[in-house]
Amino acid sequence: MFLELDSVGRTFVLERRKHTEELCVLEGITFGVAEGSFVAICGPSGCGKSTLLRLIHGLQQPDTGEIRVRGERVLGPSLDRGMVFQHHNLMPWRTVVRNVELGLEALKLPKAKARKRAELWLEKVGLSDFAGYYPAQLSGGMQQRVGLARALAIDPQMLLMDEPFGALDAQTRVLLQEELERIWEANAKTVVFITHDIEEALFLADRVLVMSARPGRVIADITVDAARPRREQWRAAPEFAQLKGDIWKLLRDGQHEALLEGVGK
Amino acid sequence: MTTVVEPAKAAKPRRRATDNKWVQRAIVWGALLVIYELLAIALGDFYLATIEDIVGGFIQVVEDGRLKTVGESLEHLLVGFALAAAVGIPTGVAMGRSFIVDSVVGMYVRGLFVTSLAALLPLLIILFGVGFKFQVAVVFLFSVFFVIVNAAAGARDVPRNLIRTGEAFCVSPLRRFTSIVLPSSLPYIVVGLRLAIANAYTGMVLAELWVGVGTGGILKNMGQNRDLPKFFAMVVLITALAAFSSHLIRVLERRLMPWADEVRA
Repeated sequence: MFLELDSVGRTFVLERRKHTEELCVLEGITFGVAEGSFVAICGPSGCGKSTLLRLIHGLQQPDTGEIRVRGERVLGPSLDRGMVFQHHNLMPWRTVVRNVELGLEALKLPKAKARKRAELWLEKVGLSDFAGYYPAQLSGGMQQRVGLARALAIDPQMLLMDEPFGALDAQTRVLLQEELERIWEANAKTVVFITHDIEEALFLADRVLVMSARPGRVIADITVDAARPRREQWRAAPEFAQLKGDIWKLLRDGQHEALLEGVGK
Repeated sequence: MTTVVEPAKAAKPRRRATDNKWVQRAIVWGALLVIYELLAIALGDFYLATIEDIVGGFIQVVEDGRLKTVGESLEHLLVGFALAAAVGIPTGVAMGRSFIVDSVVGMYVRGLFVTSLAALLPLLIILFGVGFKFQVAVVFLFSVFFVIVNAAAGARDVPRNLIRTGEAFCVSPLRRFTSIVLPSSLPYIVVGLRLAIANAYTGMVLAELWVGVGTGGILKNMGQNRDLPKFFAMVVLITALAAFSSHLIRVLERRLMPWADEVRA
């Protein structure tokens, strides 16, 4: 397996006024991801899916279990893994092309080479004409595309995406999903994609992992067998609606339990 | 059936002469000058000097060679202000980024920030005499805390998202400081410098008034001799210099932060 998670758990300690409270966010997460596959992790908000992604990236360490990439334990961030954030997180004082170069600086590429590579990726996300703009001058969808170009420019083995289209309007989101599918097909990187949007997960991924509400556990592992390129036909297919209904049911049951638990306290 | 909505013919905004900000300024300032002039005539030259007297006073001030004294005072101001910036910016940024530095020096900075610094003048005279060192020390003390407090606020306010993004893209700690913390704090630092230069002028005049030398000394004499035309001319001159210095820092701001300007446009 390319990426392996072995009974990964994570607990946050909250400092309250008088006592400390332990909040178990993730519990016994075990799954593997094959190289070149597109995996979506879908779950209700607050189920720890963003935390899970940060653990995979190495920004945080799990409390129990371990995460391995190609058999090697993840101990910190690495340029082998490119991250796209929920909020674009672009530096407002850097132009678009300079933002894309952020990760290339750590790769210690010669300046001209880095610039060329950044421009190439800007072209692939369709923003060549905006290289000299500042992020605040772009629309939300464009900002997110810069974030994607920034992550892809370091040529990572794995792309980690944390609800990258969550804050966009519906039309832009659909357009960007299609664009992502196109880019992914051309580059075939391993992708772990976090989302709370079932349709988004089904449209993009080869495999959808469904997580329960806190403490987050993987409650279902669904393979999405649909020919690529999928485009709009797949969204309209009966199988799509069927899978969507299944996942929705799983999520709703999980949510329902969590709600009742809250009432019980 | 779809209908295409014809864009409404944009009403051409009528250009009025009063839309120009310089015309607006000329009207307001002209009116204020007229009111002042009328007041000066009504009260008589025992209390106020008329505008033509002030202009005459200014010519006399120039003829008396007072500008050289003002130039010397400005030299003290510049040295004190430069020291304040050189000490204040690093101290403030360190305070904002390090809990330890903040708890060690923060208390004194905040304490002195609210102290009436004029009360310290006798102590400074004991320490430095009444010459160059004393003048510079007063200017320094009057301006340094504005620089520190604002730089600290800026360094504290660096968005965590951006620092985490830097970590995710393996930007080294030193580079994170120079390419994320500093540009993010820059707007605050510039505000601090602008407040500081205004206070540096206050400090300069106050120190000279206290010991009766330089520009402040001249003002003191003119006031005591009721040489109002010259006195007002000097006051206007110093005010104009202070405003000009503040404006220079604004120009510097535009140079250093092109992203803020382009976003505004």
